[in-house]
Amino acid sequence: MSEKEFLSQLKEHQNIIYKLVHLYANNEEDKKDLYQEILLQAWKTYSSFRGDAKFSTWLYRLCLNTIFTIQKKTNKIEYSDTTKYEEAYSTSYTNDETERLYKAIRTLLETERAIVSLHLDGYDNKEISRFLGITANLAGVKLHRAKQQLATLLKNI
Amino acid sequence: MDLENTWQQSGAGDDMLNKLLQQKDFSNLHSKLPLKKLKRNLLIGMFWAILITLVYISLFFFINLWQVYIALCVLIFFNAWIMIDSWKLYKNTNENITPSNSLKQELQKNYNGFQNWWKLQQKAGLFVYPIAAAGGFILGGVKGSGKPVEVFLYNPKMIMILVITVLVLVPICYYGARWMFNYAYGKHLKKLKMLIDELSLDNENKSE
Repeated sequence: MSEKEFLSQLKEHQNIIYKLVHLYANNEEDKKDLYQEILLQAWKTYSSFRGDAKFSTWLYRLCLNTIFTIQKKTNKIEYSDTTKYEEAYSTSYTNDETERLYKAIRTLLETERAIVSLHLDGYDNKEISRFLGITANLAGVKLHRAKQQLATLLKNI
Repeated sequence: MDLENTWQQSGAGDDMLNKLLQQKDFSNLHSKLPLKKLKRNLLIGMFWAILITLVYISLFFFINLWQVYIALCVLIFFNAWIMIDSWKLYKNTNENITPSNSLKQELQKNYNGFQNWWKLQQKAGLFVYPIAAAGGFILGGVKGSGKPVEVFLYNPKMIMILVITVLVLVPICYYGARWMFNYAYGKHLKKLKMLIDELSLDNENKSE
């Protein structure tokens, strides 16, 4: 893949970076660090992309591996604590539904957030298990639990 | 709410990301990867080990005590071994993210990198601290008292003090190093371990 192709693919799939970073960043500084780290790592390793998987899958893996490696603090935010959430995360969303969804997903455990985002982006349990290095069974169990939690949270607001 | 639809429409990007993506080269972006920090620390450690070894070598020209020579030889040999081990660890530690790794593999790579480094430090410390403490005690005692080492150590009291010095200094150094390691990397390692455990839950359940 040429440099030009890589940059164009990255722009085309920037939504993956945006969505994942917004699930894990605690504040603007975190967000900037994660964006920079992901782009830098993508730049350093894109030559290893051989095209045997989709670019989106490669980028997804890179984003998750980078985010989980660089995070030092547990950044779970309690859903009930709206003030804390607003302070920590001041980004304006495109609409209320998006904000509700992000807010709800961010209350989940960090690994569950990854599973939910992969699921919402259309990956099945087997693929999710390969992403995370867990069994498909555990991916299924975690997804089921997270979806139940999300449903309850989203119903209450 | 249609979760899939809401999620997929949410990735419009923001100004910060758009601005970064305008660049044609990302190599100048700042990295905060922990393994990068670890590699830098390994280099700093090796630099200090070389400096300390040079100081040990220079002591041969100023001291004329065979007991201290033995301690110095052991320390120089040990420093060299630690430097080789550190260099191997430095070369084998891949600080970049590997997209072909699963998340668990990537977390383990980071966790093991730090654990290996800590094991190396412990290995070095447990051997070096007693010899350094004894060598320092003898050197200080001989210089301070102005007596030859045989006379200085002939007094059983001095032997007792030497043993006590080693017994006191070794744990202080050991736990001091452990505290510093935990202070510098404890939070990060704890977080990595927590995530690895979270991802290993299924295997544990099966083995129960």
